[in-house]
Amino acid sequence: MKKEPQGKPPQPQEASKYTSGGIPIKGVYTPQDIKDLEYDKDIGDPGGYPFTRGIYSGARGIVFGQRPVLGYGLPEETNKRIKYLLQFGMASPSGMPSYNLTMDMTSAYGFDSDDPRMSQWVGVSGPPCNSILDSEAILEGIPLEGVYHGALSYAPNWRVAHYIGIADNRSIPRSKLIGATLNDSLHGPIGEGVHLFPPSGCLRLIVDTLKFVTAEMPYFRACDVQAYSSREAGCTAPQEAAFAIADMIEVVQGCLKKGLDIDELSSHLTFFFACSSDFFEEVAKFRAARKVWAQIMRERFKAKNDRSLRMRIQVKTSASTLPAQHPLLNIYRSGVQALSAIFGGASGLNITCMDEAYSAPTEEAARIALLTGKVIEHETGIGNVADPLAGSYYVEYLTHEMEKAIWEYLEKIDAMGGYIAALERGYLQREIAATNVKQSYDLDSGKQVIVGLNRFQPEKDEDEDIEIFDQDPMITYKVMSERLNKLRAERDNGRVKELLAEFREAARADGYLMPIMVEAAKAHCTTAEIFGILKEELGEDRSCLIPPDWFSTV
Amino acid sequence: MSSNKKVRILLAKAGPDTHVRGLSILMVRLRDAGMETIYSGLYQTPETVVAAAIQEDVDFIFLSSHLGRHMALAEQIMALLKEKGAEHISLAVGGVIPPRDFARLKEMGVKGAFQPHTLTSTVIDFVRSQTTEVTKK
Ligand code: B12
Repeated sequence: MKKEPQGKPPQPQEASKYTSGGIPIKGVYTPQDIKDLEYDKDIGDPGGYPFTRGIYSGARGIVFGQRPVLGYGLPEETNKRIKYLLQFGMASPSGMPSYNLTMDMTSAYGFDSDDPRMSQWVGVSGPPCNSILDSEAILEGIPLEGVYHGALSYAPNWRVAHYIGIADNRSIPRSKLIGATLNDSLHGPIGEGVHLFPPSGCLRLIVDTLKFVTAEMPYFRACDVQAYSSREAGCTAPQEAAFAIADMIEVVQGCLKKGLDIDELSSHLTFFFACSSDFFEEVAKFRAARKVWAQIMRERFKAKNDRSLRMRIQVKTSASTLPAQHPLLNIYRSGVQALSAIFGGASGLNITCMDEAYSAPTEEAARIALLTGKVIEHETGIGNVADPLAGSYYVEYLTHEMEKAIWEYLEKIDAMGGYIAALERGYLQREIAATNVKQSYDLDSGKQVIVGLNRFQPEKDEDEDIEIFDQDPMITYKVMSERLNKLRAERDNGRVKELLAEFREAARADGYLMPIMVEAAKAHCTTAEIFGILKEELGEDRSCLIPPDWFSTV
Repeated sequence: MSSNKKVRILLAKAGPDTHVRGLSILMVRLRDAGMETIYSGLYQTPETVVAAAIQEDVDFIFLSSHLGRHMALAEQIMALLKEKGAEHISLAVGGVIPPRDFARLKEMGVKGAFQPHTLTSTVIDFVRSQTTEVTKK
């Protein structure tokens, strides 16, 4: 065994006094602890206000999708991977066949693959996506109808425009498209770390897409708040939930200002959360977040339709809890996190792969993650009853405490002027930084234990036994560059020029962008052309993730 | 390096990689341990990293790399340090570095390579071991 960490490891009999998110806990809970809670007002039946117990009125079995985030190399390599995983039942939260696409770093930042500054990153962490032709290659042979489209990207509008363009080209009515896009660049500064545009520009693009889907794509969710990324950047559970809700409040306000109707808008909104290791705290987080959101939709935004009050929660099990040491243990960790997401009433679930700390998932790791979900779904029976932990003195207590913690943050953020204001002040960033630094001290001292990392370390580095996914970006760079040359030579450049001019005009004048983007996609405009214009007209935010004062707080 | 001068470390990210959680921790923790830390900001290139390291007169460049491009980045930084006559600056890499790459990084002259989630205390020990070595010489 390697040397134990400095500091005395906690004695096993000594119960920890706080959840990982800082909620005080004791060894036993009794009816006394929840005597102030009223069933109808605070908890309610599943499917009824305040939706603490879930948004469906009965057990839906475990309706969780299994869609590892995927994509790499050339578009056709990603296409092959999608088809491979579809065979193993890759499915959306609603149980439809589905995929969850990424984009490579070059396209994600709005460059084309032949930009020499980005050559090292072509096909890294996703397939390149220069034009609709690449999106077509990614989706070649995959039907759009009956398949739930899922895609992550920092540039969601453009990606959605490709998807709509493909549907138009395949003569599939837009109203039949089913799927989701993250479309929450406002979470960039506290999560992903990517800021392409200043917050006002981000909000504008989010609202623009929501306007489009509200009008034309009834089954397409177009704002999925990226709480996952801020959690993985270090948030605690209450911070994750509160910051996500604050972000969504900002988005809803932006939409209402543009004249959208709250009840029409609401079916396009979802939340994407992480599920981490503190089992009951996570269950409580999902239950409390639903309740807080229902109240906000009803009381603050005056939604009338009961459906509008339901917070739809997509979950991916936490990646940052999976260390490199003893990698097979990560199958267990992710499985347990999946259970707590299910107990929390997640509407959709992705299980993270065991080789998370090494590289993009290998085919085997992706298959095991997918099948872990299948084991839970088909062998455990835990999906037979809705919200089975309801009524537990402890879980109800914790849910209530979590709710209070979320409200406390929301009130602070409101007092600052809302999410964007809190972001611009660096408040949210500083809260996360403080959590991170505290956790690092706790790991060093052994107060927090991660098996294999700071206790029970393996004798030797085990990575030799684990296959690593490898790729050479330069090959992808060359192939994609040739394809771009061909595209630029063969397309109708007159039409391209016209559309880009129209797009610039709309961008400058606070106009409606999505319809033009779809036409631009169909006319083979490239990512860099569209983004070049957006960066010039919306302003480019290069203020790197961490404001300087982030660092001055401990 | 004289013992009364604080160790200076440039914490660097390169390319489109925005995994800064680890660096945001190191920024504070290394400072708490009596070292000086300077953050490069995002989207750097080997050229800008080396230029900043020279300008800031640092003892270490800590390259934090999470998107699998550490070998190429380390190679370029090492070559540039040599080219600019700045070989007194040591390079270490961390983030998502699979241990199988450690030997090759060492051959390149990289002073330390670290697995994901490496404890901060380990990083602090590493800096101390390196600097006492330097002082002894
Ligand atoms: C958290 C995380 C995220 C968060 C990042 C939040 C943020 N702003 O930092 C989110 C969810 C936003 C994210 C996004 C993405 N991620 Co990510 N992410 C991770 C994850 C799970 C953990 C990283 C982390 O923060 N760990 C916690 C910190 C505290 O630990 P640490 O970084 O190791 O740092 C510690 C030490 O190692 C040390 N250290 C760090 N650097 C250095 C340097 C030196 C010199 C020294 C001495 C020490 C040192 O200091 C810290 C002290 O504790 C890793 C997997 C992993 N296990 O590492 C994937 C991972 C890095 N991500 C990956 C990918 C693909 C992405 C995305 C592309 C996904 C996508 N398609 O959208 C995006 C890309 C974003 C971008 N532009 O870069 C891949 C990279 C694949 C590869 N290498 O081939 C990984 C490996 C996951 C995987 N297996 O697929 N990610």
